[in-house]
Amino acid sequence: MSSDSDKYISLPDEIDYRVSDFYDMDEDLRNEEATRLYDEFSNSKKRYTDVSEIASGGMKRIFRAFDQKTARYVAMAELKEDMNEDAYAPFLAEARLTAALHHPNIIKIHDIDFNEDEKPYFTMDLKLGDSLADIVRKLNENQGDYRITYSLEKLLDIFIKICDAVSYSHSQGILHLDIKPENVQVGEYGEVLLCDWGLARFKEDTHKKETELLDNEFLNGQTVMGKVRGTPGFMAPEVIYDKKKRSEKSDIYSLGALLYSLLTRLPPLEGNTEDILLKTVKGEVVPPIKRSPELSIPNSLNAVVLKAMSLDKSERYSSVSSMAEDVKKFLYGFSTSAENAGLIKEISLFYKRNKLVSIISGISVLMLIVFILLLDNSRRKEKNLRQIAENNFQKYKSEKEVADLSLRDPSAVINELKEYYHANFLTKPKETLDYVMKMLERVKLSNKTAILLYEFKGDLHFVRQEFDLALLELKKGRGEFENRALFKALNSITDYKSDGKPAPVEVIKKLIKNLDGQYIEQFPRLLMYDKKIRTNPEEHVELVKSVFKAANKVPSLEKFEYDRNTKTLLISGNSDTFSFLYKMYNSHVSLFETLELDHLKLTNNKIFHAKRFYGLKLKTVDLRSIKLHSPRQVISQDVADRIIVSKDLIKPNVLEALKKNSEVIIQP
Amino acid sequence: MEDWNTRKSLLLRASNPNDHEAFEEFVYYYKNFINMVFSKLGVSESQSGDLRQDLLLKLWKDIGKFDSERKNSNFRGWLSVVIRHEVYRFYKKNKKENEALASVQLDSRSESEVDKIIEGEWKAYVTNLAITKLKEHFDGNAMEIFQMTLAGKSGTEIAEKLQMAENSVYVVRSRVKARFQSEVRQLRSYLEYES
Repeated sequence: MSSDSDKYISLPDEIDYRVSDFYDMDEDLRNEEATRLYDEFSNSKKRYTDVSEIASGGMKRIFRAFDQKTARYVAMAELKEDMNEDAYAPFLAEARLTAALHHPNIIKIHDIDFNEDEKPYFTMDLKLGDSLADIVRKLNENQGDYRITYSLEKLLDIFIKICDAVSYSHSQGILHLDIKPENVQVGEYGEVLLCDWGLARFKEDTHKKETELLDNEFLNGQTVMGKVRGTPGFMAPEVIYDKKKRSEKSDIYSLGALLYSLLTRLPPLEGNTEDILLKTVKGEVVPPIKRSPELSIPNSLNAVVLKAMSLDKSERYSSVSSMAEDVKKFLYGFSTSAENAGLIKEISLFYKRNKLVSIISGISVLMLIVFILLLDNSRRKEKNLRQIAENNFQKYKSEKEVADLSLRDPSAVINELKEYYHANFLTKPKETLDYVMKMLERVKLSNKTAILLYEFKGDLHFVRQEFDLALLELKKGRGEFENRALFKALNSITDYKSDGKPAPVEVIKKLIKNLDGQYIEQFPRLLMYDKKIRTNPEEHVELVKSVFKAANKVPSLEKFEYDRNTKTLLISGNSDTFSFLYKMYNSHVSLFETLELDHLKLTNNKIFHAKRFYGLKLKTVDLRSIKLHSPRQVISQDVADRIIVSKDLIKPNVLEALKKNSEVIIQP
Repeated sequence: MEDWNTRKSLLLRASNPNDHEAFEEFVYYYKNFINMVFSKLGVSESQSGDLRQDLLLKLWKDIGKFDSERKNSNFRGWLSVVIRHEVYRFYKKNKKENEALASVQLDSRSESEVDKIIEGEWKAYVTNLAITKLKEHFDGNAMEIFQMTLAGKSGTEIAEKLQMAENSVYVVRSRVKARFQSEVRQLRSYLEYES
């Protein structure tokens, strides 16, 4: 055997049975790879290779570099050569702060370290694609198929993602303070990343200067020592005055400016830096609708921008999420539609009022000036607005337009129809709704707009009390996951099949009950439509009562009696919600809109709250049996011409305040 | 020996009556294996000579009957069955003359148990041949790491014991393992029958 061993493989002296397992062990292909990797890791001295510069800012340079360890390209930030060691700490702090943010729409930091020259660097996601600024520019120049790729819906979707990122960072106590299109990367596959947190601050920092994380003006090229830090046009006015005033509201302003850019395809403010700063502090923002009239920017989005960019911080959105919410409502019509109702009404109200300032919280000062100028010929203007709506209506009615509808860009058509719907619903609920529904049938289906179309249809069917059809359409929209309560309630009444007649009161009551207080804002419009189609007025009153109870979250009321002859409603029992505030236009829609009330009498109500009473427009409100002790119970002028109160139950200060706004009748 | 693994399967070649070299090699490898099986089954030294002769001839003749295309067929299984049959036949034939049989206790084991033992020996055989091959490629240190790993030692323990970086232990270990698996694969394709 020994002679053979030279030729053949010999057996070891001792058989090792432990290795038998290797006999049919699957050969792990990664093994070879792993071995090579170990080798690489233990030998690689230079982690980043193939470095090339892709961008350069004031103090930073950004490179594209191949990371040997992860074997992929990353973006690498370094300080410019001429930066001295004073810049190191803030530079590293920026990286650390960004690294602390874990959000799908916030750029990720991979590595923070010093290079061979002992200079700090950090690496982060490298995304191929455009910055939002590139996209806006290309949209403006109508390059390639950008206007097809980046429809209004797509842009709003991107915007909502940015809002999500900012909202998250605010929840972590961090302000971005340099939100602008240049700092948003949009990847090839629609990924959205908020980048460049170089100006970011912890909220607390605004008070304790010594702990400022990223002090110095070095991080941004546009920054001038002692002047401003940020990007003119996108930075909030208070930041220009005093950087200690910055807050979440400053980011909200910037988001408003960013949305402005997306809607108009233009920078929010124009001119040289000085002009822009001046316009910023004066609040001279040209409304997007006026800036780009040819783009037919939806009124509701125009309002979102102006509210976010209000000069007065308190008039801006209270949070990023509430701003995103309004944009979402525009995108996915369901609960929005009601909020949009009454636009025309609300605008006409502006003209009638003299004390505008107290009422308009969502509209910028500039808008105010415009309105004041218009005040003189307000009547005519109001008529004009009506006329425009009428004309649109006529325009759509022309046969040619109808035929063309199926050929036009579906996203534009849907937006126009939405606007038309909201502008006309209050004055002609049935005609408007039926007409819009008919038009929607002709809108061409496209991938981008399908969900919007289905949800819009679902919305309309709901108002028309075609709950089975509403469910059908909504299922094709975003689906059950996004609207659980709504689906649950609609599913509870699937026994009912719509037949073009008003739905039985019992069905609607069951729906309201199963919605459990949600989507109640949808019902004023349902009632308005109901008023037009239901022949039995008693049934209609019954529905109003159900909606009123649900809105007030009271299972029962002692009395809810309506006298049609005297147009008087008597409500006995605790209730404080009498109208809904629709945020988007700051308008109030009365729950009794359809009863055409003149007189409202409340008794036995301990929680009466005047603020939830706005928008009723009554002749008299009878509050004789209600204790009026608190300023929150002071009714403003537009609720009723006369208010009847009891001498014994009203406090002098409340009485004084009431008298300022309305005629007060004091009874013993 | 350097090109042994690139040759055609040994069994195929050995079945060619003109390939003396192949036959010689076949005898070498299978003789060693049969010895392992014998020692496991307790076949006495005195009997093993004849039996081994019979077995080698039988294997050489029957190799053409192994049908790898057949469902559930694998070479080890076939090999085990052939060997078991031959061993049983041999003992039956010599039962009366040989009292030592009792000690083998073949009867007390089920057939499938015996097959399993033979299969196990084949696995140990092939893998241990691979170890010999492995030793040609790696130095003592690498083999030691491999042995310690087999003994269940962790990377940290090995690194400490051999006074080397833990990283290096992993690198060496995974290299040896990869090489070992590759050797086993090559040996199997060489020593086992493939159609």
